[in-house]
Amino acid sequence: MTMRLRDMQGLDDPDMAEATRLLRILAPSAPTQAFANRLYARIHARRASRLRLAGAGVFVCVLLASTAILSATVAHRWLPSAVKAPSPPAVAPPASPHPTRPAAAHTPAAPVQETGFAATAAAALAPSALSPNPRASRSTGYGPSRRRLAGAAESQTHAVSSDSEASTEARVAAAPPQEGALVLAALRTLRRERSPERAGILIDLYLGSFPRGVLVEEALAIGMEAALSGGDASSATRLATRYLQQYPNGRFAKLARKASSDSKP
Amino acid sequence: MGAPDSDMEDIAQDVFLVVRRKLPRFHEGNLPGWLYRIAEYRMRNYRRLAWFKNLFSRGQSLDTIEPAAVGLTPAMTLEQKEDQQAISRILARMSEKRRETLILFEVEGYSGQEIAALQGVPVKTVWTRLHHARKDLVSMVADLRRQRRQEVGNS
Repeated sequence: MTMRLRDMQGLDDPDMAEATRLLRILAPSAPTQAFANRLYARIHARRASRLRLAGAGVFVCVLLASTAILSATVAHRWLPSAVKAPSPPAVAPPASPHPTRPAAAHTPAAPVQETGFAATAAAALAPSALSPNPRASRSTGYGPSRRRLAGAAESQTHAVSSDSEASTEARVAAAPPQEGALVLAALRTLRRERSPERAGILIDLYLGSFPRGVLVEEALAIGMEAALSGGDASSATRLATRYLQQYPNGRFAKLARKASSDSKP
Repeated sequence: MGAPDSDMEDIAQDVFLVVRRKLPRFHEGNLPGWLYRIAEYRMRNYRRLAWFKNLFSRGQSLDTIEPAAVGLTPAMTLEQKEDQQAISRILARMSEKRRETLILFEVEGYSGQEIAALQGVPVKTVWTRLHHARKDLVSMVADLRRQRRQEVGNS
């Protein structure tokens, strides 16, 4: 049986004796109870830390999922309406109160429906139904030259546009469907199609159909602008006079006065 | 297996974590040998990590910072520390199989049959490894003594 070096005594070889002495320095690893307790505690602590880490991971995942769901909900509900249908700008209250004017400027924009009335107006405004210069045939004569009136209309158009175009559009959108459709058609005809004659016909149609309509003020302003653009001085004067009678301090009073003065020979 | 005392608890903890993780996969077999194999792999990893650690920390070890034993003079404490460092260096220079066999037999007190069962080798292989380990030990101790004599002569 092989003996252990550390158990040998009285060795003659000094190197072997020194090796034996050095081996005796090394103590066998005998784990004590404290060592075992520390070991169990560390293993348990490591397990607990892993559980905490897993819990934190689950919490972060739930948080991210909730955020994603919330973002998707917000984007689905609000963003399309914010992008596709911007809310109309705020409308200042009118300077001169009108008895028949509802305070509906802040109501959401109602869709303009193509009613039978509007369809009739559109049919009446078809190019075939219009004379080459219908307003010229209705007018009784020109005061200033067309160029002068057109220049005045150009300058006034910007004034109308910058001052109250937004509020006009908002009020048109908030008006009853038939009135709104007619005035809106006149406005589009004047601004987009640049056809003051057809816009003037639409305004005349509106003023004849709704003499106490809620958009009379705007219709008069659009009619003045259309008359000035088309060089129809008599219509411009007539509309301006009517406007100043009904709304002496209205939003478009300045335009009406200028139209009236520019139309005079 | 030659691990320093300062890292023994960490290594034991890692070994038991591995044991706990792999225990469901252990079926009938040599349980001591299985544990020994895990500890052996863990020690191998530890030595690799220690090599990298020493590469950056210039070989400084925490084992040199140990409280002095009670009842020893400073000279005796220093001598004991030098002896511990010497035997650690000698064991570190041995091959892994010989070192483990030597420590298991000489220090831990296992028998040849137990070591053979742990390492999964025949008993004769254990005796062969032990024989070569002892030769290596004596040879390196002789070198150490020669070196010490030279240092004493020079001083």
